Amino acid sequence: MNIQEILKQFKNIEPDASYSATSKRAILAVEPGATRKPWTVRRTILTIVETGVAVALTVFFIFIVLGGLPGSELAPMKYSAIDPSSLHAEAEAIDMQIELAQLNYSEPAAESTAPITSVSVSSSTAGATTPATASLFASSTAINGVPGAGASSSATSSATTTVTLDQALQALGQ
Amino acid sequence: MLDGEQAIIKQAVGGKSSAFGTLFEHYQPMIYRFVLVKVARREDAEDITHQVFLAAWQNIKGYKYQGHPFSSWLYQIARNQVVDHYRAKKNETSLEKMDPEYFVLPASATFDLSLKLDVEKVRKAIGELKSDYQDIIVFRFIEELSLKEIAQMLHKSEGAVKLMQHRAIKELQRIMGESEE
Repeated sequence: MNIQEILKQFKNIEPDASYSATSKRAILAVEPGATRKPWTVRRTILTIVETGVAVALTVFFIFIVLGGLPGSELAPMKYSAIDPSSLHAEAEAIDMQIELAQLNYSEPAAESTAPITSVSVSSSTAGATTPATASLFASSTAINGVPGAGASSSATSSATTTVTLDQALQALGQ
Repeated sequence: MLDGEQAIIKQAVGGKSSAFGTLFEHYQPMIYRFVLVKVARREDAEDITHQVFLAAWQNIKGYKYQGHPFSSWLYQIARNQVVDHYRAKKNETSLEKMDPEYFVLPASATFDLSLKLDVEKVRKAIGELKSDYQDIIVFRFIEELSLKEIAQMLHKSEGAVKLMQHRAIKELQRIMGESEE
């Protein structure tokens, strides 16, 4: 049995003539492009409105997801950069670093700390004082009218300023 | 290909039903055979062929000549319809469980009994081939299209079509050999 010869016989297969005629009539009775709806003003407006609503909703959800309105609880994603609690923690950490820096600065002249308006003079560190510092403190004592402070004396000053966290944040922002 | 096919297609695209009627008469038997080989049941083949031409007529305004023959477009619609047919029939009775007498060849095909049996045997074997091989068997050996025409229709090179044809016929022979054992 030669397959190719048998396959050629398939070409003799034809659809039934009455079926073909009926099918043709039924098909040609339909308008071409019948699946397409005709253009109308109403359909155009509806399409524009539908598209507009879809775009608006998409933009709204993207807006909400990416941050939303300030103070809005709808935003599921919160950036750490604008999260108040993380900012708070970060600010506290920065404040600690400032305190430590002050401590380091104050350490050599440890014994006395006084407001900037007053100057304390330490005789124990007199030998280590540079002439420039000495002249500075000499003038300071003159301003404050403290008698008995000589030009060769050594002086150490320290200022302690208490600021609230909000003020610190504001200062950092600036 | 029809004489003056491009002009007829242009008229059909313009909505002229008689032009589409001419295309229908020329291509309907080919599409019918193509579908019949794939679905086996005559009633199904008739329904699907009708759906193919109905879909073609309803979408004719969107048809654009892109260097491929018109039949290529029709065969593509037919392939999609066959896929839809099998998807819809997925949960129904499998073909193997059905009465073999159901797979009757159309009355208009005149075969003697032994040839009819051979034809049915080959058709069943084609049914076991994968879709690409079925297509190539139909185009090359049933419709006797040239390699160039088939290559245009399947968007493949002639070499690729030749190779596919070789593999398809080898696979068909293997299935036929197995069925005879």
